Amino acid sequence: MAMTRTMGTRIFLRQIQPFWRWLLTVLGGALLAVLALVLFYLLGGLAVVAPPVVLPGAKLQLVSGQGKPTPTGLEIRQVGPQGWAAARGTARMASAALYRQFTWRIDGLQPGSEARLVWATAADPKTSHERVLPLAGSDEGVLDLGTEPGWQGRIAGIGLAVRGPLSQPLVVRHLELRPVVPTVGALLRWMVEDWTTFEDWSQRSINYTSGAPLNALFPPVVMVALWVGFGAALWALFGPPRRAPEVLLPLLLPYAAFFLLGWLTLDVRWQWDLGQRLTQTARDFAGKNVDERRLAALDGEFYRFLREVRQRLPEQPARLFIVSADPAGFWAGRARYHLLPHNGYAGFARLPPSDAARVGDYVLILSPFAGARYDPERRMLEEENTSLAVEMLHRADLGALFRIRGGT
Amino acid sequence: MEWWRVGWALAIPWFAGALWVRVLWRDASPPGAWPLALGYGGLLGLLAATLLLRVQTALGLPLGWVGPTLVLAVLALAGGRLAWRRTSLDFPILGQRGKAPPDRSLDSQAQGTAPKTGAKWQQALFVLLLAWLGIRFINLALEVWWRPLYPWDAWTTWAVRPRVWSELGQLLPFVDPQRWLGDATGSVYTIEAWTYPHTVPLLALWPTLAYGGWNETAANLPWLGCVLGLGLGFYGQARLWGASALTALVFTWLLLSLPLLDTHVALAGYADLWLAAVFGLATIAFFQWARNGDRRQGLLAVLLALACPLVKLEGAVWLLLFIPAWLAARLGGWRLLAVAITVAALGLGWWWVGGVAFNPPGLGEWVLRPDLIQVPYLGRFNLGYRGGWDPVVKNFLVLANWHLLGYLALIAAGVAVITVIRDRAERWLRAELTFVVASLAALFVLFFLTDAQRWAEQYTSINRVALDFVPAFLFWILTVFEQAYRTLEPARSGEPRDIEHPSV
Repeated sequence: MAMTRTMGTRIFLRQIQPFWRWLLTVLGGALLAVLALVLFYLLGGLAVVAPPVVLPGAKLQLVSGQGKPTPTGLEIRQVGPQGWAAARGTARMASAALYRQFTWRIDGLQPGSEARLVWATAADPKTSHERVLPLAGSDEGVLDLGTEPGWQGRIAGIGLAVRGPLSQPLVVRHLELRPVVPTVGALLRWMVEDWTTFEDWSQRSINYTSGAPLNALFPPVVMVALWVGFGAALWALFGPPRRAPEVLLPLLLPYAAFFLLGWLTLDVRWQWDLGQRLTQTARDFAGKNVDERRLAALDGEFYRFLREVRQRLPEQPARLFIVSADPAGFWAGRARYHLLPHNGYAGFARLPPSDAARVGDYVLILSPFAGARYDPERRMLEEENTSLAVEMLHRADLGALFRIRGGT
Repeated sequence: MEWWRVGWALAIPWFAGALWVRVLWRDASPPGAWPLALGYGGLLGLLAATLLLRVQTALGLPLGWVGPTLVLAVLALAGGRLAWRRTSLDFPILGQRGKAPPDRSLDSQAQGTAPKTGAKWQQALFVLLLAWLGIRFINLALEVWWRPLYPWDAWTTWAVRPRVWSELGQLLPFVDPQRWLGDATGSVYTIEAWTYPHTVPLLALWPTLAYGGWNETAANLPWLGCVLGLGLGFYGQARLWGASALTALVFTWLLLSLPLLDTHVALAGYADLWLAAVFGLATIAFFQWARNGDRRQGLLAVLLALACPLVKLEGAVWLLLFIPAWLAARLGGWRLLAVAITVAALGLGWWWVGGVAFNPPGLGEWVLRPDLIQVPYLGRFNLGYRGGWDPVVKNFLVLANWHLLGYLALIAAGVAVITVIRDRAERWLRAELTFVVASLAALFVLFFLTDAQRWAEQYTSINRVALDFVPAFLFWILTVFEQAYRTLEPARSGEPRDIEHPSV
């Protein structure tokens, strides 16, 4: 009896041996995938995946002071009223942990000049951070930002501020962020971060799903593809001996299983992401009526303003000209949608032409809009060659509503 | 009460369509017939509801859901009567394989050789996968239920028409902004994309009519139906092709798990999911027809293909892709070669003379030059190579949009080419490959030779346009592997090769 049991156990173990071997190749494939990517980055691959972020001077935007872009760079002739000249550019959401080295080249700096690197992070774009550049009498320099407390997360933009007065024009030739090759430990931490970063719904979601930070070093899809590839290769090398089975299935099944396991891994991660997103959606909107949901949406405050606007509009749909600084932008579009079924059109960056606007039509001007001004005494909306006789119905920080009246 | 009405408004067209599609297969109960009927029929039923709304308006009747629903209910009863009388009404989802396809698919081999426990683990896997898909569907459904209308084009374009129609109770016209500006009646509306077709707005309008007023959740519910129809139709067709229940469900899972597709359900409101479903299911039915000349599949392909231009403008262009595939399916040998040479010669001549321009009455000005394509209502495209593979590689092989589909497609393409070259593949396989190559060529022209290249660079539409093709491509991948397996397997076991077409 005991012998039979022992034989049965042996047969069972023999039967499941291929499975354990397959499982080992799965683990081996995963290890090889991680190893391959880590080695790739340590041996110079970083330059391919994370090239330096170079801001040519000619592409910098001068936000304070006087100057102009030239073929060699941004020429700054004079500082602004605050005593500083400042220029800025986008940093393509570079990772602060990776891009720790800042270099620059500015022609014309005199000894004793003061220049600062200015930056803002994606998490807090309204707060600017500064660091004085060590100018050692040279036009060029390198600065390690690794210990800067504000150099964190994703960098949305960087810029340069130079204190005046300027004895001669400066030419900013370029600003540059360079990646620093991380340690193995840092790379592994990076990998964990790439896999666990939560990506909430955004207006970009409908166009693409990145699944990780856009410039991730360990994109899950690539990692899983490598994992499947290495696993399949290991199985081909170390799998059970092939004895020309009568059917192909036992031969192909392990490879198909590798692929499906890889897909499932990505899908579990996607489900985790979807679950997190649903939790946020439920927190924001569940159990609320239509109006409450709109108030809880990302343009809730704007909706509140438009609700006040709607109260000044008639019951029946009215023709509505929505004028804004960005007619194709988010706020103009939302205004038009929220005010439906009023017969609105948001494509106006200027006041509508006088011959198109008729008595009884409405004009909604969204702030900020510098193009037109309202003369309360004459009750006229005016803009260059256009003037409309109007009655102001509502005014708030976010905009103002007018009704076109008869007369001039 | 209003949600009950919405439920009826969505369910009745669905069942009417499903029963009538099921009637097509009334003489037999092949595996996959019911899922196919529910998927194809559901979508066709909803499309029929939008046609009935147009008819209602054309007849001068007030806009409402009751009349069209009654018509569809009568159709459902008639279809149900026919289907009930002629079929056994079994639901062979988990059960036996059909008699039609040769029993040589991957899983049938497994069933043939594996012990009984093998069948059990397959059944267990089937149930687990179904549960996983159920969790996904519930997750997406709750997003649709709770989240207000979210994505950009939904509230700038696709939902504007239905909201106006729903709130005012009539299908008021939308015109171009200039005409709107000059209009004195106030009875015309405008959006920038005023030429876009009406079907998707009507699909959003339909449940809101039953609800009794504009409601974003109700308007978005058809998107859930769309993905359900796509999944069921895909599964049913895979079963009809000869795949086992597990293989069919695995491929359905591959399709329904794609993050970009899921996103278009969760953030309902865009038309891309509808075109992906309608065009995808049309193409799959076309593949089936190309394989065995089944007229029922041909009918489904034609009906859904005709709906493509009604869903999105590019649907009209995608219809052209069926022409080379149809030729590859119907012609063989020297005839196909002659057609290919003729087309190549015409293309060369067109290039040589610098293109053509014509202005047929009522159809606007057409320009087809090597440097410019202008098609009324579709757009004007300056042609010229604007290289850039980075967005393609990033979006299909690096980012999470498509899981591992890009890699799978590359493997399948290699297998398909080898199969076609080595085994002198049959016409249907050539037709499929022709369709895929023509589709990729169309995408290449769009994203490499026109200004749409910047949409690829900005990632704004490269994935959304690709979504149109993904269901068909995934089905093609399924058939390529099935065929390669069937071709190899008898050779290994010493049997003569048998790749004849099964009857459905």
